[in-house]
Amino acid sequence: MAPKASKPPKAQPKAPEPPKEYPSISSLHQDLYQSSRPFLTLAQTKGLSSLSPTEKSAYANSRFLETNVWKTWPSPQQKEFWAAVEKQNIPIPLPKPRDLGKDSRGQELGTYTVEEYAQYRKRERQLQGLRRESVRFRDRREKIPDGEVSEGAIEDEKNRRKLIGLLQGKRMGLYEGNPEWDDVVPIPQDDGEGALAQIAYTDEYAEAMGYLRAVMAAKEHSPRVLTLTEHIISINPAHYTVWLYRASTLFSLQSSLTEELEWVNEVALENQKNYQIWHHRQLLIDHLIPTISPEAVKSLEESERGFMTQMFEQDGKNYHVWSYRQYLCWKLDMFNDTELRSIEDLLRKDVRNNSAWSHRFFIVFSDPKYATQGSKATEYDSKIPEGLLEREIEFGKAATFEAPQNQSPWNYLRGVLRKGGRELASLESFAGEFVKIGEGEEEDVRSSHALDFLADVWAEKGENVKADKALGLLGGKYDRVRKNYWDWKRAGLKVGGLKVGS
Amino acid sequence: MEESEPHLDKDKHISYWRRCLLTLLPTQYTSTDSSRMTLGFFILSALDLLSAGPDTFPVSQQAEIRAWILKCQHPHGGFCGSPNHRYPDGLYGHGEDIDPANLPATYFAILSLGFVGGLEGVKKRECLEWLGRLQREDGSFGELVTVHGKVEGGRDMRHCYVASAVRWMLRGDVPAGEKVEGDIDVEGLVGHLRNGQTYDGGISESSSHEAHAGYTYCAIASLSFLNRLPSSPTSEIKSDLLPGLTNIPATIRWLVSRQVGYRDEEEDEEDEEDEEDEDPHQSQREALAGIHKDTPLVPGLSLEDEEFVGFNGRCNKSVDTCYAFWVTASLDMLGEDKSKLVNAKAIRRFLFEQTQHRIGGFGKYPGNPPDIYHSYLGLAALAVMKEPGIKPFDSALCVSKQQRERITQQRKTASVARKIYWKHGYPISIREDHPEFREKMASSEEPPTSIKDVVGAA
Repeated sequence: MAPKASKPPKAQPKAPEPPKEYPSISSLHQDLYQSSRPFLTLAQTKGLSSLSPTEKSAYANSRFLETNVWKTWPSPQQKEFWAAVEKQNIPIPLPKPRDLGKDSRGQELGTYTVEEYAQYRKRERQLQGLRRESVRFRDRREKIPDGEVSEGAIEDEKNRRKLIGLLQGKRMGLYEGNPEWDDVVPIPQDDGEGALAQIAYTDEYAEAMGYLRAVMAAKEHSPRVLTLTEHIISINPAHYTVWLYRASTLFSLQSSLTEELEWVNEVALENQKNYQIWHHRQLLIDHLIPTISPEAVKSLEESERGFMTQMFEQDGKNYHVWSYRQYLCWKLDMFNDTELRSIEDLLRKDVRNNSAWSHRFFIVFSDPKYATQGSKATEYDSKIPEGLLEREIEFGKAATFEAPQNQSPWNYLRGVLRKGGRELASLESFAGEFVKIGEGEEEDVRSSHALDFLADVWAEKGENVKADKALGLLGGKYDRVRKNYWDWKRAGLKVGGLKVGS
Repeated sequence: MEESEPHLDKDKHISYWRRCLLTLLPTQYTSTDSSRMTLGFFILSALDLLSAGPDTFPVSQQAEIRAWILKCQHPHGGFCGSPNHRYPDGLYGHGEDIDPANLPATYFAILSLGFVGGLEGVKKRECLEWLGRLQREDGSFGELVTVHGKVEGGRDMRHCYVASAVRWMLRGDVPAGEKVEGDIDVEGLVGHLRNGQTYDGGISESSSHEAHAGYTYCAIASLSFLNRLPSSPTSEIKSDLLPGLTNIPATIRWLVSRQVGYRDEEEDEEDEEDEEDEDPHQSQREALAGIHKDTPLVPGLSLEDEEFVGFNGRCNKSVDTCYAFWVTASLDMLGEDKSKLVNAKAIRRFLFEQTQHRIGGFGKYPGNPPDIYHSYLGLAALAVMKEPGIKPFDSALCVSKQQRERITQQRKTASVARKIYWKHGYPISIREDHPEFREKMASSEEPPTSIKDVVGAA
C-alpha cells in the first residue's frame, strides 16, 4: 500500500545555531583561514558591484592588508590606513593552513578530529621531553666509565623507552629499547633489487639479526651474546653460523657446559625438528669430556642415554638423534650390554623401528673389541665370532615370527648372513615357514619378504624354475606394486648372468 | 594419455611459482632464511622446467637477479646462504671471515647463475681452493670452514654431492684417476661414499647409520659427477680405481622397496590432526598396507581401489612427496631403464591426487599446503618420469637437460688448459684451443736467462 502523502511540516522557529562542529582538524584550519577574510568572502559571494560603499572600502583595505602594499606607503598614510582597519574591524588574515604531514602509521594528520589532534600534540610534546631525557642519559653514560652507571638509572631509561614506544604507538625493538645494547650499531640486511625468495620477516627477527651481525663483526664474546644467540636460534634454528658463534662464546667465557646441555635438552625436547642442535651438542661433549673425571664420564653416558630415551618417546626414528647416538658410541665406547639392552627396549616397543635395527647392526658388527676395523657393512668379516652370529640370527628370526610382513628383520637377517659369510640358503627352511607354494600344496604366503628371500635362495642354488615361480607370484599377487621389478629379476634369471642382489 | 588420467595443470603450477618469485614468502619461511639461495634456485629452475624460466623474463629482471646472486658471493670464494650472511665489503679483513661461505649455497648459487647470464663472475680459483679446504681427512665434506680452519657441518652425503657438483661445474673435465694440482682428494671422497652403503643396500651418512633415500640420491649423484657409475659417460672404470658402489643390485632392491601402499584415510586424519600436531601422519602410518598390519597379506594389492602408493625415505616410514624424487632419480642415474622399475602410474596418481595442491605446487604429505621444497621435488619426480609438459630432466644436476647442456658448454671453456710461450722476454699465456696455438708455441723464444734459472726452460 502506498503511503499517504504527508502534510508539509509547519515552519518551526529556528533553534539557536550550535557551536560549529568540524569533521577534521584541517577543516577547522580551513574555516579559520576563511573567517579571517570576511570581506573577501563577502565580495566573492555577493559580487563586488553589489557591495555597499562601506563594505567596498573595508574590502579594499583588507586587500591592502593582505598584499602588504601599505608597507610601501609614506608613514602618515600608513597611520591613516591602520586607523581605518581598526574602525572597520578588519581581522588580520591568517596564512594559508600548512600541510600537517603524516603520523608514524602514514595517516594524514589533517584527517584527525580536532580532539584527536589536540591529543596528538600533547603526546608529541611529551615525547620530545622524553627523547631529550634519553639523549641526556646517553650523553652522561658516554662520559662515565662502563659499569658505573647506576642500575636504577638504567632501569629508568628502560621504562622511559617503553613509554616512548607506547606514545609513538609502535613498540620499540627489543634491543633498541634496551640501554644495555646502546653501544651496538646494528648492521641492517642489504637485499637490494632482484632479491630471490624474500621473506616477510617480523620486525623482531629483522632487528635481532641486525644486532647479531654487528656483534659477530665486532667478534664480541660476552654474556649478552648468549641471550642474543638464543633469541635468533628460537626463530631461525637453521642459521648455520649462529650455533658456532654461540659455542665459541661459551668456550671463551668458560661458561658451564652442563648448564648449556640442560638448555639444549629443553630446546630439543620442545622442537624435534631442530637438528642443528645435535651438532652443537657434539661440540659441547667434545669440550666437556677432557675436563671431567672417568666417573663423571660414566654418569654422562647414563644421562645422555636417558635423555635420548626421552627424545625417542616422541619419535623413535629421529635421524639426527641416532646420528648423535653413533657419535657418542664411538666417543664414550658404548659398545656394551647396556646399549644393546636399550636398543632391545626400543624394538620391544616397536618392532618396526628400522632405525633401532640399524643401530643394533652397528653396535654388534662394529665393536672394536673383535670386528675388523673399517670393515664395510656390506662386507664379510671373518673376525665376527660364530656365537655372536648365531645370537643375531635367532634375534632376527624371533622378530620375524612376531611380524612376518615387517621388512626390517628380513633385511637384518640378510645383513647378518653376509657379514658372517653364510649363504642365504642356510635359512631356507626358516623362510619356508611363511610360504607354502609347493606342488599339490595349498598356496599360503604369509610374508612377501619370505617369498622374496626364498626366490634369492633358489636362484643362489640354481633352482631357477622355483625362483621364477616365486618372482612371478610376487609380481602377480603378493607384491604387485613392484611388478616391474620382479619382472626385471625374472628376466635376469633367464639370462642367467644376473647375480641377484640380496 | 587417457582422458580420465590425471595430468599436470601447467598454468596452475606456473602461477604458484610466479607468486613465489614476485611476492614475499610468508613469515613461516624465516626458519629457512639461511637457505634463501636454495629456495631461489628452486623458483628459477621450476619455472624453467615449466618453460616459463628466466630466459622469458625481461632483460632488466634477469640482470637484477644476477646482481643479487653475485652480491651473495663471499669475498674469499664461495657463496653465502642469504644476504643475511653477507656483510658489507669493508668488514671483511684479510683472510679472516666473519661469516664464512656455505657449500650448499655455493652449489645453488652457481646453478642459478646458469639461468641468468652464466658462470662468469664466479671467483673460480678462490672457490676451488676453498672447496679443497672443506674436505676432511676421512674424505667427507663439511658445509663451511671456520676462521680457525676447522671444518664444520655434518659428514652426510649432501655435502659430498654438492662438493662434487661444484667441482664438476668449475673445474671442467678431469680424467678419472688423474691428479690435478689443488684438486680435492677424489679417492678419499669415493672411499667415504662407499663406506656409506648399509647392510640393507641403501646409503647412509656412514655405514653405521640407517639407509636414507635422500642420502642414497646424493651419493649416487656424487659418483656420477666423479664418473664412477656404470652409466657414467666415461664408464670405463680403470681396474685400479675404486668402483662407485659396493653392491648395485642391493641398492636397486632397496630403492624399489621404498614404494609402499597405504590407505587414503585423509578424512579420519583431519579429526586427529589437532591432538597430534607434531606428527599428523601417525594414523596414515598405521594404515600402511601390508607394513603395519600383521593380518595375512591382502592378496591383489590393487592400484584401482582405495589404496594409494607413495614413496618413503626409510624402511617402515611414512610416504612423502620428496621421496618420489630421491628414489626415481637415484634409479635413473643407475641406468635409464632402472627408473622404469618403479610403478610410474602409481607415482603420478600419488602426486596428482594426493599431494598436489589446488593452488599449484605440492605439499609434503597428502592434504598439506604446498611449500617450495616439496613443490620442486614433486615436479622433478614427474620430470624424471618424463611427464608431458615438463622439460626433459637431468637427474644428477637436478635441472632440465637443456640447462645442463648450457652449463656443460660453459665448463668446457673452464677446462681448456693454457700454456705459456715467450716473446720479447715476456711470458704469454695461451689457451690450447686458440686457433693459433700451434703457431704461437712454435714461435716461442727462449725464456730470458735470469728466469730460466728459476723456472727452467718452458
